[in-house]
Amino acid sequence: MMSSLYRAAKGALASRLPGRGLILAGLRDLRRRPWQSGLMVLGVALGVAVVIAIDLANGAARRGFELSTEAVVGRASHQIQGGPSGVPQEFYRRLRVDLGVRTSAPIVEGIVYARDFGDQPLRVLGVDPFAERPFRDYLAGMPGVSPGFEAFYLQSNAVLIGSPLASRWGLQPGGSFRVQANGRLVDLQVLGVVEPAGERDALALEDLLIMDVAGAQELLGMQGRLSRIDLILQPQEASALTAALPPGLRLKAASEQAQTATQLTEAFLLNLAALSLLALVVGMFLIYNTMTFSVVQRRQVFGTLRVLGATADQVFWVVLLEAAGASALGALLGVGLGWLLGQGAVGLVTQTINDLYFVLSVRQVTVTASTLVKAMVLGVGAGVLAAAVPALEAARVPPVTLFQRSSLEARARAAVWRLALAGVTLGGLGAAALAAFQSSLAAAFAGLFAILVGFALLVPALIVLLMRALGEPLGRALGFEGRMAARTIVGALSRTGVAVAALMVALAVTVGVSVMIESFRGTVVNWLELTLPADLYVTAPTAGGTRPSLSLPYALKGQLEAVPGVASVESFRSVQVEGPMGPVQLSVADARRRRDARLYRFAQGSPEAVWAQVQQGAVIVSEPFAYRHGIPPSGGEVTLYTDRGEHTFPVVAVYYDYSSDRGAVLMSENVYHQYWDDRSITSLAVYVSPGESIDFVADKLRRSLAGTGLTVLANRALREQALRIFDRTFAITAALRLLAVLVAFIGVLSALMALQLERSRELATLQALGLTPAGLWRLTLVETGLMGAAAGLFSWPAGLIMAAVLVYVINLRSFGWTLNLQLQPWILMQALAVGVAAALAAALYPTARLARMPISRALREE
Amino acid sequence: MAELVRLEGVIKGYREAGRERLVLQGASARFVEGEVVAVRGRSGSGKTTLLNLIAGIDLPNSGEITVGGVMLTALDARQRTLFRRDNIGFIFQFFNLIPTLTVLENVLLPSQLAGAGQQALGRARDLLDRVELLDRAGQFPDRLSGGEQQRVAIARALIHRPRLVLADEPTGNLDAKTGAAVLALLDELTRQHGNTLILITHSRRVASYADRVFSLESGRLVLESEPAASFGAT
Amino acid sequence: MRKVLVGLGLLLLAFWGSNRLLRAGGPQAQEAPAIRLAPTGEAPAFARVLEPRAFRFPQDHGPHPDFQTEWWYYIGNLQDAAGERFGFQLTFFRRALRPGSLNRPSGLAASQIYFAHFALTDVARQEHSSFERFSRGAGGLAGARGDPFSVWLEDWSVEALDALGERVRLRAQEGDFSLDLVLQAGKPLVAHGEAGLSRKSEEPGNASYYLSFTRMDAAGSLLVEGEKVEVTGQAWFDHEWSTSALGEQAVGWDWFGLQLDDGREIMLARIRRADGSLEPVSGGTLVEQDGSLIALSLDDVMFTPLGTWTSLRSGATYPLRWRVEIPAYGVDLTVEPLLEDQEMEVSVVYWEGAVEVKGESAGLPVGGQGYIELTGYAESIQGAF
Repeated sequence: MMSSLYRAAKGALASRLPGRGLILAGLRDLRRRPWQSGLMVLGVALGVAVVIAIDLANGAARRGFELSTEAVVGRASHQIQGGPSGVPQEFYRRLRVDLGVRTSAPIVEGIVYARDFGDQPLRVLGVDPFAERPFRDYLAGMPGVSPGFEAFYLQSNAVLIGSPLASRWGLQPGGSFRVQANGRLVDLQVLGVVEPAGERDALALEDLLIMDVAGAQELLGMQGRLSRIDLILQPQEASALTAALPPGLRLKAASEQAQTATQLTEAFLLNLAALSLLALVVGMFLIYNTMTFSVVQRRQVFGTLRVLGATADQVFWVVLLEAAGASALGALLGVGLGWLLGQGAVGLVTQTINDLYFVLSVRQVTVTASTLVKAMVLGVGAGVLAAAVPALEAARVPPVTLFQRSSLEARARAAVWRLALAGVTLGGLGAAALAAFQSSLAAAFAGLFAILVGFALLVPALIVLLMRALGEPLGRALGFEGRMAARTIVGALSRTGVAVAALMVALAVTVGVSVMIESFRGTVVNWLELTLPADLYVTAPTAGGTRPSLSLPYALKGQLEAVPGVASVESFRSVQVEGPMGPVQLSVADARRRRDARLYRFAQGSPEAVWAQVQQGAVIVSEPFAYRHGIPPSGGEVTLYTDRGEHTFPVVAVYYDYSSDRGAVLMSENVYHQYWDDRSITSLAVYVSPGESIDFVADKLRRSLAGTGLTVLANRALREQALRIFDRTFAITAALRLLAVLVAFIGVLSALMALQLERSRELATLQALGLTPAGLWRLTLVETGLMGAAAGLFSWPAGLIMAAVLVYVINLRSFGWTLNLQLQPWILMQALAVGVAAALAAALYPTARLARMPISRALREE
Repeated sequence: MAELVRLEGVIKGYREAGRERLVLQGASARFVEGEVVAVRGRSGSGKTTLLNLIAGIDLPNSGEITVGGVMLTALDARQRTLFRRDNIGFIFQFFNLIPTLTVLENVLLPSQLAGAGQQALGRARDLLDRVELLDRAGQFPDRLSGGEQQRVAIARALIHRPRLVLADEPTGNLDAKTGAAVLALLDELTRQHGNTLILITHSRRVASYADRVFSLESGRLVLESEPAASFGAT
Repeated sequence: MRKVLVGLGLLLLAFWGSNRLLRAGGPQAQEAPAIRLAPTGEAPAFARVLEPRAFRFPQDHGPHPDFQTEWWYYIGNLQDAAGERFGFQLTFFRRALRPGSLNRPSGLAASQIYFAHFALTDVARQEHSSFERFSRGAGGLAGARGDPFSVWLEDWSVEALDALGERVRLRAQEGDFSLDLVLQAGKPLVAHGEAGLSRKSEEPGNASYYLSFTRMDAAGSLLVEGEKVEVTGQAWFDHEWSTSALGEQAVGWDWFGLQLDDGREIMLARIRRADGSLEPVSGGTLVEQDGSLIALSLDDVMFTPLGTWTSLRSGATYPLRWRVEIPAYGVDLTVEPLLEDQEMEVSVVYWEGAVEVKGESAGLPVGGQGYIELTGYAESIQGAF
């Protein structure tokens, strides 16, 4: 009974699964075309590698961020925070002595820049060892009081550093290094080197300077203030404490703190992940392309198999298994390659996070099991998905043993218009998705992909039209070969259509991303002109590119105004404050100078009227801020927790700003001083008196600032610096674009090479009939060149549509800013050139091979 | 002897250039187990069409085809494929060996398709021995001459003990001498195993191997010759 | 003098101990990271106790930051209206990181570290609870002052209620335990040794300034496991400062502070050395009813341990019962703890607790009470030396 059941089950299964022989035939077929199979594997590998590299880099960045947050937050359940000037130190005494809250620890935090080590930003963590015990593991080794540790308390420049940092910089206990701390240069002394107990601690200590809380106050100029107070509280204790807090101080759950910070970078990381998927999509086209080819070429074999009794299922699976096998190999290679790329990508990603968000130091990428699984799922999944259509095609091969190639091509040509219709429909659906789901970033990317694929489906139709139009002129210009080339491309549409579509998609991605970057850059250049009008700027040198988080004394303003030749000095303060909507970047500007009217996107009244209101307590918000928080063009308001308690500020304008994707609120300095105790300055803008030499005044300023470590930059230099940071921000995007081009190049190489190899017999026949070797070269090069050019041309509209979606939809939804779409002709020319070059390169090997081969042998070729 | 194949008023046409062209116009015949039948006809007379119909590759516009008691015309495409896999051996004019499989693997293929891979190994070797190609079992088909390739195809056609072997111009692509040798082998093996063989050919000489010879004329099967004990064809 | 040793030992070991405890304990016990420290420079030049000095009050009740180590010790026996007995200890330690005061901008910059122990003994419930705190001596978190006299670590504090610092208020609370007592000196200040200079070895400078109120009337309230009791009783105050290290040979010490019903008080300290012998400078002070002082040397006193008790927590075995004889003054006493388990569960484990005294003084039968302190019995201390 059982055995008969078993046999029945086995029989049923056998009719669906391909047997050993079939699989062997499939795999050997892959081996018989090492070029195509190799390129297919490489295509998958590259696609997977890019995704994995970005995934690893993003993962490392997230993990680094989590760890550094964890390191700094420790086991705290809550934190007491104040405004930009922090928490009065006296409140800590009150908390501990009068209120008896003893699981509390005073923290003084800040950023300094290591002058001896490329201005690398370092986080200062000022702690009290006696209060630390319950909070942070890696500080548990602090000896409290022991011979040699007294200096931790006594010397305001004594620091503990982690051993990774120490060995990177060659620092020993007792050594010293110089940092820029706000408006001062300070030599810090390494009192001790902390040996991390584990990988977690090692990451936590990566860029940390541990100091005594008093030393940190002095280093950062925060006497009498704490950055925050860490607490471990039960919920009921927390609510009791909230009631006891004076205005200006807030109790926050530590988890909430970590969350808001991770949210900052999510859009950025998501964008990277999506762009990396584009590379995989290009890789999928490559697989589709290769598999379609191999199916088309093996119709005869599949027909025979069907006659011999192979079911359609079996044929379908054999093709799918082939693709899965090649993809699995590619995915494995991709993980290795991705890991290598990830090493570079993590640097670029963290650099960008450092430039745009916060100080983050990550040097390691870790390949976890989940990375491997992800790679295999993505790689094999993409491969199988891409091979599904060719596999269906193979399964549909009737059990017939002799095929008329012409009938296949006839069917392909007949399908052209149906495909085009499907393409238009898909593209339309994509556009509809973009329009329908206004705020969803995922829908935006899905829509973009749909439009791109829809466009790819249009390609065969476009080829037919283009070649029809070109046939005659080409014939006139190049004679037989020209006519023949155009006709062959249409004649072999089942192959050429796929190849050109794949190349078109890849080129369109590069066009789209390039146009987006250039548009962004152009927009930022214009904006910088408007936003940096002063002659000279005083700030700290930040080779690392991190936005300076300086707190300079207010007196510096007067000091610089007294320098001869200085007409006026404007102070600028950039701080993070809190409101009911979370952390808010506050830009505090000298109220005397009106903003350039062109900076306003929406304004209530004239620029003069706007500014008059700002001086009286209104604020203006940046475009991303308005987008993010749904501030209407008029009648909006922003509520902030000030040192005087909660206050609501009316919003009188929305201004263009590209400095922060979180958005910012701009407030006049006199208003800020009214609501906050913080009197520090982040940077200063200096206007030179008319007739004075800017260089001369800059020199005088530098002399006046001697010993502060601050630099004086001409506005042009500052703009250049801003653009350098901008370019660095897009370095990873540019790298992704380059990889997509590479995948595309490989794709077209493989497709066109296969096409030419397949045509060996046909070309040999032509040779037998009298085609010269030179004619052979002309024919193949014109043919492939035409296809490359077609792909390049078709990539223009697709790329521009993609650029428009990236600029007007994706960027808006990710970051909330308006960019001006700017088209640089070189981008289009480059796409065309890459297309043609790849196509021509693809013709070289097959043509050379054919040219060397005796015609008689070529005639017999399969 | 038992009847194996019955064709009843089979009509089959193709649409060509918008016009229906009838290839078979009511062909009827009965073939019994163990006999060798040849079907002759000029090019385009519908020989291959007839073979495809008997193999269940194609369906007639009307009429009935029964093989081994199973009415093929009542089966769906998948059932016909499975029936073909289990009951019919095929030999082609152009051999149609799978280029990426070795000689042995090509012979094994039909049984593997049926899910019975390695059990057939001994039989495959036997058959290869019979077609005198055992020493080339590990080679790929493109190293073999046409006659050798067709001998492999014969072995492949017999591996799964089909009741019916269909051969479509098996010698059409071979020189006369090789063709004769291949044919002799095919004849010997099928008779030895008691298979029914339907040979399609345009050659009288080839047809002479058959017990009975039909010709396709105007889309009908006409019996040309038969041995003393005859079976009728209407 | 005994407190010199106690204090030094605790100060040296406290942080070693706290780190050790921290490494071992906590919900997420894990290997704590090691820190490689820079080599230390020259030891800071603290003042040393070389000759007797003229004390000024209340200033000299306050801190002496030029000396490395200082502490204020309050212990006492109390009872409530129903006659239930309690013991208390509230001690503040000061450890200087360098001599003198700081001139730094940060209000949290510290050159002094404070730590404190607080313990209550509930005889009726047979329970002893002890607590420990640390803090930097800055930012109002912990400190000490001479005029008016006060010492505090967060909300544990001693505050003078009069100009001379002879009447003080003690406050401490931790969880369900607290103490709020007013202490009034009942006898003049005792300056131990040579006019307050208490030697610890023959080597000059190895000494402390050691002052005591050996009998203070105490009244106030305790919170014991959440239950408030009004209490009265007798307390003892030690104040000592120095810049000296413990001798290499010393492994522990036994200290006695006994208040006899006939109006006498006896302070005794015996320093045990590794070889089993006692430090020759061991000895004490006998305070007569009228406040006159008699210095006692080791030769004047006979100590006989009568019984021991072993702590299940630390594994240490303490000699809790003693016979103490001072034949020249007709003193023959047995010392009995009110509760065996008065072990201090702090960074460095020691035994400090209330005792009952019976026997003879000046040849007459006498009763009394006091506190004794036994250190160096827990293994951890031995290992630390």
